[in-house]
Amino acid sequence: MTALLLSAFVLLMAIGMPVALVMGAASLAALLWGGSNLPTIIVPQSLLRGIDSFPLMAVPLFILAADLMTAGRLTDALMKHANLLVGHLRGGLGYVNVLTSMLFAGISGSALADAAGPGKIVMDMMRGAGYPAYYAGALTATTATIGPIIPPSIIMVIYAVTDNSVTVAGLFLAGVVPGVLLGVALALVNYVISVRQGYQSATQRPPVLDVLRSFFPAVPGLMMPIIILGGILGGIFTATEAAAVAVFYALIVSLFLTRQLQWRDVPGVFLRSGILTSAVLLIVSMATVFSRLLTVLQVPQNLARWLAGLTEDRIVIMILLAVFILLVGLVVDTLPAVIILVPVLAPVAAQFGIDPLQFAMMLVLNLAIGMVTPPIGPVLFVICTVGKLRLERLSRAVVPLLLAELVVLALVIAFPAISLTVPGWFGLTR
Amino acid sequence: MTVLRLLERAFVLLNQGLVMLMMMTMATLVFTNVVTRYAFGFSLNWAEEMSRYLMIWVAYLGAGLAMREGRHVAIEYLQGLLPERLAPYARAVVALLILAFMVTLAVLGVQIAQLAWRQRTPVLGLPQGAVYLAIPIGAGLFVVHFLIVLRDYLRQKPNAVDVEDLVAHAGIAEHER
Repeated sequence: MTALLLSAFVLLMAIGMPVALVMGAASLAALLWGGSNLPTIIVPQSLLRGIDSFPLMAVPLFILAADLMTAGRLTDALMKHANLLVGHLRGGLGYVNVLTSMLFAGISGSALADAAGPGKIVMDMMRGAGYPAYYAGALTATTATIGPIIPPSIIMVIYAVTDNSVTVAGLFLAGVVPGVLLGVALALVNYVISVRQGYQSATQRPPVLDVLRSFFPAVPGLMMPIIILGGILGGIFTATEAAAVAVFYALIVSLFLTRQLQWRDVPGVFLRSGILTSAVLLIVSMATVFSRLLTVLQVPQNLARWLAGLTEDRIVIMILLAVFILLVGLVVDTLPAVIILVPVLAPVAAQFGIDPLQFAMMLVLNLAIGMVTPPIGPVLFVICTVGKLRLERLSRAVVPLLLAELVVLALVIAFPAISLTVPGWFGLTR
Repeated sequence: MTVLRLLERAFVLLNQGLVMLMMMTMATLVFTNVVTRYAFGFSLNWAEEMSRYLMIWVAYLGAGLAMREGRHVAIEYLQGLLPERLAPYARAVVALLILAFMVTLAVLGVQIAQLAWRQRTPVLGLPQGAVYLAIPIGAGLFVVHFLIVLRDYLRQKPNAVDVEDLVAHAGIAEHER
């Protein structure tokens, strides 16, 4: 039955069935023809159980808050400020690219969508300013995948719902240092490449007054993470409540303070977020069925036993798991991969004494790297399509950035403190 | 023809209206609960349960709309490698599998809704089966939407993702495009 489940999954994915439906259909096929006596009724049962969760509601609310921020031009103001701040440096737009992805990426929950949407805009900006198309494409592909590490991210919310040994607050805090390390690593590569290739800055250094003036419109947008993280960490509200507060904060600011959002546009924003919510939650729902079957079939136990037969060393186990996760990340988008892999691998990791928060950072970072690993990382295809680029050349251009990410991954694996120190301050580690 | 068009338009608008209202109600309920807890020292139990069920309904009622707009990400790389003549046939196979799965899901959904109809939800005391109904109704709507856009789906060029649409949905303001 396990063989049927996994081969149906691979086959349906390969022929281009929507990812959400692949997981449901493969599970159904395994139940119908896998020769087990499990009833098919567990499909709709798990579908509902997978999304019947109050903590999970942070996901649609974060999506809504982000959509309102964009509609109210709070996001625009932030981007403009980032541009004035670092745009005049050598390779400046590269830094803008890294900074904006750190601020906004990961809201859609799909690295693919981030690459095609916000990613494309920064890529076009870079190309318009004279950066080589392949460098702009490679940098955008890489930065599109780092969002999930950096709080607040909906991937982390879903992770916490999937694995009961961690909390949303714990994951958010654990992501701070690895997220900053990633940003710094990518910015460093951007610096080195810009100096070597002699990229010019896009603009003159703006007067200090202009930079200051652009700061004030950016304040409402900058308040957003403060409200969310501060609220959660201060114990004022849960992640879901924080997300709801963020929604109404964005709504009120955009309607009355910046006045960039009209009342008549509000229903459209809610509808758009509703449809995106549906796409995301359908994946969560369907993946729950799939991962429940994996658990019933004792895949985690078998995997743990097999690994234990190989080695006892914690670092070696981590590296083996990392390679496996990377392989999955090569073909599966971050969100479904989290829901499928976490119930299978988190117990294994815990059994070998790996801290759940450190494991979470390793897993999410790994999936991000898988998305841009040549020659089949899915985000590379998206960038090729939106940027009309050739895969071979983009694959070569992405290598230095990928190496930087791998260094950060190695650090996260080698030093638990990178993931655990900040949550430790708040008493959120074991 | 025009009557069909009108019917389709009405169907889509109705579906969209429902998803939008449910999203609004859900967000408002959660927010209200935060406010009442801090301002008046109590929270509404039923609001928590209600908002959870609304989220489930949004997830399933929006599925068809998401399909129509190409929001369900698929990896269509291998389809793209096929000769242009063959691609529509490959897509027809995928479309058949999608339809078969969603129809089965609708049937299973009705079955579980019947089974669970007598169970009551903890706070509101609604039939648990009514919550489950989101699945068959959502799957049914999905099938209708998909049949309406089937012709376009088959003709569409295979891509890693439907790019234009993702851009439109990533919430990018018009002037930036």
